[in-house]
Amino acid sequence: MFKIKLNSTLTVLLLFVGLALSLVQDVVFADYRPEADLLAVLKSSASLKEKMDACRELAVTGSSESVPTLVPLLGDEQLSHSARYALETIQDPSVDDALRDALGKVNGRLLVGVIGSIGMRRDAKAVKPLAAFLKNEDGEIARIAARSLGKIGTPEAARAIQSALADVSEANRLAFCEGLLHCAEIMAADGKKDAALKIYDQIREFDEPHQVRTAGLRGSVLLRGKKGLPILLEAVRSDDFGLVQAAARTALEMEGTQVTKALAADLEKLPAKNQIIVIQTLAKRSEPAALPALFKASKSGQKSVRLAAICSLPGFEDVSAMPVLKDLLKDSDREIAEAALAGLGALPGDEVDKTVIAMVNQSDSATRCMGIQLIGRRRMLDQMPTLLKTAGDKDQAVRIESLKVLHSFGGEEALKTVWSAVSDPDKKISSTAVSLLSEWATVDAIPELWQLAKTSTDAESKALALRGLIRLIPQQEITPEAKSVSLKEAIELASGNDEKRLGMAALKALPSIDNLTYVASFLTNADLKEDACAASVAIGEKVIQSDPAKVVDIMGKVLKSTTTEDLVKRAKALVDSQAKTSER
Amino acid sequence: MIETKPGTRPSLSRKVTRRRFLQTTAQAGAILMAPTLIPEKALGLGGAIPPSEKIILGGIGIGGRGSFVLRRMLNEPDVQFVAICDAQKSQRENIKALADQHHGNTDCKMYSDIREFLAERTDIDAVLITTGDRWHASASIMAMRAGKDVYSEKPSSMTIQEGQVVVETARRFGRVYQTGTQRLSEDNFVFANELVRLGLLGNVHTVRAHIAPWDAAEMSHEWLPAEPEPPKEEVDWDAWLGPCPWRPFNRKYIRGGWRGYYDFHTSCIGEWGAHTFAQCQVAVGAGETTAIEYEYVNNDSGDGMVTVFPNGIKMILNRDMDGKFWRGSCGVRYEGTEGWVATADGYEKPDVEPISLLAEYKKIVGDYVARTQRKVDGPMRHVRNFFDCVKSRQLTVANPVVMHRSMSTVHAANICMWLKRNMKYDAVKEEFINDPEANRLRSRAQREPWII
Repeated sequence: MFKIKLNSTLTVLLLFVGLALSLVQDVVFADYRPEADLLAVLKSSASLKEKMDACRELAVTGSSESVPTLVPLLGDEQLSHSARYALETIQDPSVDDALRDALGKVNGRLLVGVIGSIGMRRDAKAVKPLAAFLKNEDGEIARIAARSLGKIGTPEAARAIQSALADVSEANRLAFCEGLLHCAEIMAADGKKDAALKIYDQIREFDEPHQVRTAGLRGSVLLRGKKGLPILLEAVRSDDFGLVQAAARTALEMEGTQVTKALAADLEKLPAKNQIIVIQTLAKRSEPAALPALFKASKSGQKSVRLAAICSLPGFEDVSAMPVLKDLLKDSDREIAEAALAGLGALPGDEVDKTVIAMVNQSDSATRCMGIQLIGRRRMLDQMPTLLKTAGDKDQAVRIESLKVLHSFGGEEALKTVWSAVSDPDKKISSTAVSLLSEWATVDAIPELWQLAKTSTDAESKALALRGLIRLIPQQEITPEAKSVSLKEAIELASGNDEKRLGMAALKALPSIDNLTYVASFLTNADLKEDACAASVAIGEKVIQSDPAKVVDIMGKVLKSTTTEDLVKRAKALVDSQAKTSER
Repeated sequence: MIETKPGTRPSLSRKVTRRRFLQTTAQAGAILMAPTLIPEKALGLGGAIPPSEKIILGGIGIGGRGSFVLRRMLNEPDVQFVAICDAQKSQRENIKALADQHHGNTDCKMYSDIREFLAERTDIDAVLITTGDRWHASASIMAMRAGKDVYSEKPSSMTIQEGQVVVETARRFGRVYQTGTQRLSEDNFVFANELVRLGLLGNVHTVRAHIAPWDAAEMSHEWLPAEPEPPKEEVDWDAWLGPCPWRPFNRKYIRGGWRGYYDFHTSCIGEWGAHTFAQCQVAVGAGETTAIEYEYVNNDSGDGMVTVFPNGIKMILNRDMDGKFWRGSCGVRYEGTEGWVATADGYEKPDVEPISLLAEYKKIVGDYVARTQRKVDGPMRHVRNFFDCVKSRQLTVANPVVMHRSMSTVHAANICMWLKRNMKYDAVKEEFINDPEANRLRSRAQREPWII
């Protein structure tokens, strides 16, 4: 009981402290100085930097109290921006009054700033004075006025820009159009749909600039919703590819199956270039309503369109694409068939898996091979028994595909089967198996690779086995010494220099005096001396502390052997480092 | 806030410098995979296509990082770079030399004034913008108004309001826009995101996003000592500053020393959060919204800050100085009821629990490629995604909405740190709840005449 009482007291206390802290948090502005102090800085003879810092802090903490002090700074060449920096975020109508008032008092660049801040604050009372700047001789001022009117976005602001648009200069046209587009967006959001539509329809009839015309198209279509579809389709059919692109992009922003259906229905009537972009749009929308048209497009027509359609299908993750893709596997065009195979590989679903298994059980060799490839692409690990069986098939192509997929799956059974194929009387099977074994992903293959390296009479098989060993030995979970012994054994077994080079490169990662001495033994081999130098330097840099004299001795030999500038530099550095140590 | 008295230096956390960190961080690696895309040649995308269908590209503010991106862009066979606009003469000349050498001509024109450049070059389809952070949004907005498609380096904005205008402008003019958050197009990161999307980690409840291990959330308001302003032809200092408050010239700023300053940078949170927040938000289906809760942490970086998305999933900001959650830069980690995944730059494949999920790596990434028709087999496939979208008019992977929303989370996290208190954000109205001071930090008045 006492315990409960204590806990309750503690809870109340903690709640009180928490409440107190939260109240404090409401009024503490981290390290900001009090407003009055900041205003005092602005009124003083403080430096420019100090006044700018004060304005920056007022941007976070300033109130209406700050406005009278900040406003006179709007006309100060050095502090006008800082004054706006503070004023822009003060939520008080006196700021708007002051900025409007400043329009008649500042000029040039400072006026651009003041107009910009009025736009940022969306001061609807400023429409009339801002409109007066639309015909200003200074283009910078006219443009910022148009953009600020756009941000305000009232019908009055739109009318002001529209009335000035008729005789706008080429240099200002884009800014005026942007202002108008911005007005349309705000008016549409405010429920003034008809007025906004008028703006969009007006703008999409412009010839230039292209981005403005297409922005008009976008607005016209999106704001009309379903009723905008005819405009969208007209653009999709256009010879003007810019419009087609704009329409495709707009379609991505539209919701509803009608859009997909309408685009799909139009697909085959379009020029190839337009078809591709619409197919990509349909793929992005991923609505099943598009599939019949995409199936059709994938089966015939221009190759690039067919490929686009085929590649779009996996993204739908719809099993109805399976028979289409399966049929396309037989296409005479290799790229089409390969795309279909890739599509089937990525298409999810148990039904696809069943179809793949059925393909493997057919009599036609090509179909069986594709089925086996698909088992691999789809990583149907439960089909391991099937693969173990087909790896012993009579059909050479089927066997090879099976071995490849077994290799990609890995595991004991797969390794056993591939190893067994190494001694197959069929040379193609045998060489495929050797190649796959040498590329085995895991260390399980090391015993087989040793056996192959030591017993094979075929030079290429032996070399491949050694490469596999040199790659896998460092991956074993054994001591560095044991790895070194194995790598040296592999190097000694190698008859080719390439494998010796690989071996020395692997020894670089196992630095020891023994390994340094070993790689240095190749310094006298004309073909391998540069590789030996590289390995010696790399190892020497890591083991210098354990036997400086030995390292210096070998570096002396490296310096006599290498012609590589970097190695000379590094070997000298090692020698010099020991010379300096001795001097001390 | 930082001490603002002239002559004093802010006490920023600079123990680990950006340069030093990057030097010791492994470079990104990627697994090559067989694509299952529409053959590019057949579509006229990225293959040998007639010059008439080339994308005419221009550049704005291209320095070191920009040159890296531009070189990748120049490798695309359907891109012709024709003009560079930069406030610095040396950079203009460097980029002209690079482009001319690549194209084997002397056609690349140089501009110093962005307004003149955009008004004059109506032939340009798209622009690469790699100015400092201060100009990214403004230049993007100006370019999109002029009818250009835009590839802009991150971060996409300096304030929430700038981000809103980027979205609004891209929509209004139907422009294609991509931010250089290239990890959205890299296979190891894509795999991690796909594990979440496919539900293979169970219900994901927590994600962790890497923030830069140098600098701080609080930034400097100091000025470097004034130096004589160079001739306008050499460095147009007014244009370099752009919409930011004026300050006296100092050569350090234009040589990359603008990071860590409030006027120019988005802090250690934005430095990498621009990448990692976007990764996390896309992964958990919050790419089109913003975190709604921010828990202030009493340190200088925001390390450990817990944010919450509208779907209830938490995102924790981590500096991860001891490599607890990932190895390398720009790491992310997603934690679910049935497993977790973590990845960062330099990973061949992500760390995953259960590890058996790695067996599905190729399949999962391959299916993503087939489904989205985006290649992810290299760090700069992001660039190709942009050019493909320029032609197809589809949304890019780092489109304006995703970038604005993830940067809004960055900005809100910064504001939380600056005001030193917990915050709630209305992701629909895009405003802080009952916090007028925080709301006032959503925008900054821009300096004339660079007002968007």
